[in-house]
Amino acid sequence: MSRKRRSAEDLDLYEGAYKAFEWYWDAQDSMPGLDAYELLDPLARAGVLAAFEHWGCLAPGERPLESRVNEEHTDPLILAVKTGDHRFPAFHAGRDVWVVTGYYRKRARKLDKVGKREIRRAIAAHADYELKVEQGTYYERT
Amino acid sequence: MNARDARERRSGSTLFEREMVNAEIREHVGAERADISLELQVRDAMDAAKMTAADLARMLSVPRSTISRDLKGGLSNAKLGRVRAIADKLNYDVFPLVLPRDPRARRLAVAAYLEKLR
Repeated sequence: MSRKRRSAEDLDLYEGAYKAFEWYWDAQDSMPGLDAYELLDPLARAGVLAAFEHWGCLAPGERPLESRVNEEHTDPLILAVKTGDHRFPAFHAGRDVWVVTGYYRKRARKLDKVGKREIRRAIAAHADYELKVEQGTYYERT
Repeated sequence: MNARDARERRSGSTLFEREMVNAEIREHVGAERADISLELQVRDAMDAAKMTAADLARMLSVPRSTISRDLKGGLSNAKLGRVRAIADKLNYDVFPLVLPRDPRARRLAVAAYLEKLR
C-alpha cells in the first residue's frame, strides 16, 4: 500500500467529551492508520467512527463495550477500536489523548501473524512517539 | 509539546466532522449508534442483575462461546430471538421498533407506541 505524506491538519480523528483521538504520524510523514481507514467502504468507516465516538464519550471509569474496544497488549497498554473484523490499535498519549497507530484485519478468533505484527508496530510507535515528544520533534516538524 | 498542547494550537475539523457531512456515512453511523445503544442496555441490565456471560449461557443452555460471541462481536449481529431470550433471563422485555423516517410520522408512531405500552 502506498503511503501518503500527511500534515498536522490530518492528525485529528475525533474529539469526544472525555477523550480525543489522533493518528500516529510516522518518521516518513505518513499516517498508516488513516491510509487504511480511507480504503474502507462507507459501512466499515461508519462502524469505525461510531466506535471512536462511543469510546470518546465515556466518562473516566466507564468501560467501553467489548464489541467496540479490545485490549491488545497490557504493558504498554494497547487497545484496539474494532468494527467487524477491522482493528485500529491505539496507545495512550497522556491526559485525554489516544494515538491510533495502524490497522489490521482479525481473520480468526486468535490473533494471527499480521495482527501480532501490527501490535508490535503499535508498541514501537508508542516508544517512538514518547521519545520524539520529549525531544520536541513530533508535533514541531515543519 | 505534548498532545493536548499541540491539539489546542491546531485549528480545523476532525476526520469525524468531515465524514459526517457525507449523507451515506451519517446514515450508517446512526445505525451503529442504535446498535451500540442496544449493547449498552443489555450490558447495563447484566450489571444490574450481577450476571455474567457464563451465567447467561448456563441459563439459556447454550455454549458460553455463543454468548461471548454475541456480546463481544456485537449483539446487533445476534438473532432477535437470542436478544429476547437474553433479556428474558435478565427479567427485561425487548420492544423492537420499526419507525418511519419522516420526522412527523416518526413522532406520531413513537407516541402511539408509548400509549400502547401504558
